Amino acid sequence: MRAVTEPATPVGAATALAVERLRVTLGPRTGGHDLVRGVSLTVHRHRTVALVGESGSGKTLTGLALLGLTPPGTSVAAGRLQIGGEELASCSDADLARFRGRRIAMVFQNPMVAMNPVLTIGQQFLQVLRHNLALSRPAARARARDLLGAVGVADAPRRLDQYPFEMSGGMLQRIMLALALSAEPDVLVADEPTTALDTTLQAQVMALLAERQAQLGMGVLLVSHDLGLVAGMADEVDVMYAGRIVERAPTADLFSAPAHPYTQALLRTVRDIASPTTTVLSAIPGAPPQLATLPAGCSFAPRCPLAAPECTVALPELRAVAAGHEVACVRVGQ
Amino acid sequence: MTASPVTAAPVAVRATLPRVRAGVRRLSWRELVGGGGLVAFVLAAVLAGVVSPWSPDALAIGSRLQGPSTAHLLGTDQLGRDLLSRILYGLRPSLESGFAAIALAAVVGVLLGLPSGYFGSVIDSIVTRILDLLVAWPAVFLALAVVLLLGTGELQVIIAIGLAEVPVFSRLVRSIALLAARSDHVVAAKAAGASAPRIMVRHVLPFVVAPLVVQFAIAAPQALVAEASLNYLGLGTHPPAPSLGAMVSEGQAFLAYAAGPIVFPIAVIVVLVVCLTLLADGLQDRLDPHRGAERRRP
Amino acid sequence: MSAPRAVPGAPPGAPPGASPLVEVSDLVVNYRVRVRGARSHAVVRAVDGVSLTVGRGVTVGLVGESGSGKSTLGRALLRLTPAAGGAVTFEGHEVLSAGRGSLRVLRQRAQLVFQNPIGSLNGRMRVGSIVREPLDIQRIGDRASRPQRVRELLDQVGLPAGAEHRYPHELSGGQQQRVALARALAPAPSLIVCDEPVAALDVSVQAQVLELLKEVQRATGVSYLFIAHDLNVVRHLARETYVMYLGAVVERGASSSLFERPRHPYTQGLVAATPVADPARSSPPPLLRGEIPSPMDVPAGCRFHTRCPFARDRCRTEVPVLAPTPDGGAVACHLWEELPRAAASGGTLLSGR
Repeated sequence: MRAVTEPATPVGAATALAVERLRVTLGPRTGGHDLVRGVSLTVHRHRTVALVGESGSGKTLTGLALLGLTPPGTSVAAGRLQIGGEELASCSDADLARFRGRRIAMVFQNPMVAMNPVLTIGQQFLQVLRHNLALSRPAARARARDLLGAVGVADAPRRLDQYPFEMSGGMLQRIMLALALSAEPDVLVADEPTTALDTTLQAQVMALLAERQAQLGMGVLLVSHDLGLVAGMADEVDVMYAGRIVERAPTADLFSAPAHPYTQALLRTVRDIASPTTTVLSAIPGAPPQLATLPAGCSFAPRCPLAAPECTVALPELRAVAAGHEVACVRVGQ
Repeated sequence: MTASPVTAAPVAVRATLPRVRAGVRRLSWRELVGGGGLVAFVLAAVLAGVVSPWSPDALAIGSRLQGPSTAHLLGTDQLGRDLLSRILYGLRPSLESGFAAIALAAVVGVLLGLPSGYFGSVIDSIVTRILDLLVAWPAVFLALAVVLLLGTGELQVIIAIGLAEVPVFSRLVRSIALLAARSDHVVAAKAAGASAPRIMVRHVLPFVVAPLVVQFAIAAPQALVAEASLNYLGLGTHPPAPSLGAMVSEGQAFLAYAAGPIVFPIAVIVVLVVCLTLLADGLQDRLDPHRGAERRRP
Repeated sequence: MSAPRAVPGAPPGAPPGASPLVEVSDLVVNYRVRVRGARSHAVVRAVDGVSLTVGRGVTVGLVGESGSGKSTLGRALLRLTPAAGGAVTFEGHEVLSAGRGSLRVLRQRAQLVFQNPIGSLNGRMRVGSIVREPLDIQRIGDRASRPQRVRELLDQVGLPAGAEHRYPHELSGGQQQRVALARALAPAPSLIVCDEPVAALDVSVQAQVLELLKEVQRATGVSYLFIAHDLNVVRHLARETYVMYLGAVVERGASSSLFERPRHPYTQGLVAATPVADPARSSPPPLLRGEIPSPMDVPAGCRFHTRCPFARDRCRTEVPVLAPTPDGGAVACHLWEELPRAAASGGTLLSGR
């Protein structure tokens, strides 16, 4: 069941990723609670969709679930999952393993942790390239050199013989990007790819990501908490709160006309902080909800300035308010 | 030590995956079996006077080196003494000196390791040298040296085993203190003017306790075996007082006539060691940082 | 606190004639680093001759990439890291050579708030004990009055009643940072060094904590040395800002002019790299290439020349000194008078390369 309106996309753009009603549950099937509560999203080739939210919103879990990498103790279910135009029978690890690394790849927040500390960069490339692309050893090494060159790593042969700890975080993040893109996947999930880096390096890495995307044409799902970063990178922004997408819009629309009270509050906060003249920062009162004990109805209602009795009745569904702009709030338009 | 002036990386909103809120986790089978076994042994030793069918020293020359029977459940030794009773009584010095030795090692280990890790530099170097000195000797020679200097007896056994275990404890404490000394909460305490002893006791020691408990359980079986070995070598308790090691030692001469006097004490040592090892394993799992220590509530 | 040392409506400025709260001059901090394969230690200059002034009741910002030495500077001026040279005066006392007596003043009147709130709180202690510890150490008040004072402090930072009985891990990140702030405020300090205090918090919580910091400053007249990488946060809070690069200050000035029209190419690069939550302002290609060099290997001449798009021969040999600028700031760059003053977005700089 697709949403009422498709986000504005260039005509003929192929779907890189489509998932419907994704659910990630923590704990036993009965008695457990959902951390991701029915997320549907589509990423087209050449396009970047940003999944924005605060900690605990489920944005990272959504990204991990698409690769079958959710932590132990969780289970994943979805109405439908399509990667690179191919339907998957299920979200099971076995079904996803075939796609992981080849059709869908991931860049993690902390490259120092995400890479194996006891293998050289070259060995890690060799493993990935031989497994995913079945290349011979010399071919894989030559390919690794090219890939490193493509992400702006100078002196690739030397770098291949170094260990992760011998490199800076910025260099490692470039290398991780090269590794993730080695099989030219249809989709790249980038989970806070620059959060551990200085802003100067963030700018470099994001420019590099954009450049590689232009060359390879993969769809990018950019998971981030940083609205500033997203503004410059994404074509579409999906805002998550308490495990659900509460607003989805083309980037320009989201920033110029945010519809959901949560998005509005978040943007106001970001802009207040960025404004040296504001005397009092508009903070969102309270704290993000605990997913184990969610109130009935809209999860944001307890912190929402516009909350009305009807907000606590039923969980609001996404509905279109403009072309490609959907929002899950019963108060919008009232 | 690197210069890293605090990674000021924009580690903003780290996407923390919600964790299972673990209350008091149920006991694992390792903890149940190991802990239960240990409790049973301790009870048996404590209540030896009540549960023993015979006095451990009651001689019965007529029934020497007998196999198990209804009168003597595990048989008798070369002097006709009831093996079960001797084992029950023999558990006492084993458990006592084993635990006392580890307690000694833990205390000395904390006293050495805490300042060593916290201050580093000169103090660390001195402590490390002392430990190297202890480690350089094979444990048996260390024990012999103690006995040479202080004579034989239970206290000497405790000191000998304790000394041999000090380096392990000290290094463990040092490594944790080293990490804790660099943590922000210690810097905050320094900034508030806390003295070094205060910081060590209030802000470092609490983090050492849990790993110490695990190490205690890991070292206990080693200490038991060491205690038995020293008694086997005749460096511990004086006859006729029973001890598991001494019983093995005495039984050895009569192995050709009866296996009981040597097999049963060894079996008891083995079961005891297995229980302690299981308990240590279980405790280690419980304190595994991946499972609970880092839990954070949203 | 019954009698807050309130400076009602005090503009962020020192009372006339008063000496500044903190004066750092030519501070040098070295680290000894073991080099692989070498027998001896290498000496790394983490802070290399920094001078800085913090007035009373104001916020001074300190920005720079990781590895710039900004955190080390903060710790050295609190004497939590030994300094190798220079001088620090705090409330008129020399800090670096202070004996026990003067050091006690510093330990009472200068405190620290960290980036990672959970790491900065002892997880084995309850919130009440954490906040009370400075009072115990400094023997402020008596046993009977301290719990009351703790309650007031927790109230001041907006923590609910009963919070003193909780453990840090039972609180949210924002609440943990409030506890850390309450602990810092306990001995009634005149200076708090804030080392990335909101970087680990969610955006919606960041605003709450920043607002609290401002409120506390209004109520108590405390000064902040605010160390952060997020230029937006610093610009919002600090009246004056210092920019550090590889252990040295490269630019200083009123936050308004510094961020609107940065003079030093490094500051320009930092400003240009700061994301703006506005898709209409297309993000320019990154101005700063490469990464900050290792402090073990500081470039000769201007330490920034290896990454500077404008570097010339002179920059590679001659060390620039901090020179005053007409708008009251200072900049350490040979070329600052020739360079275009970039607009806030850094747009004009793009032709520089």
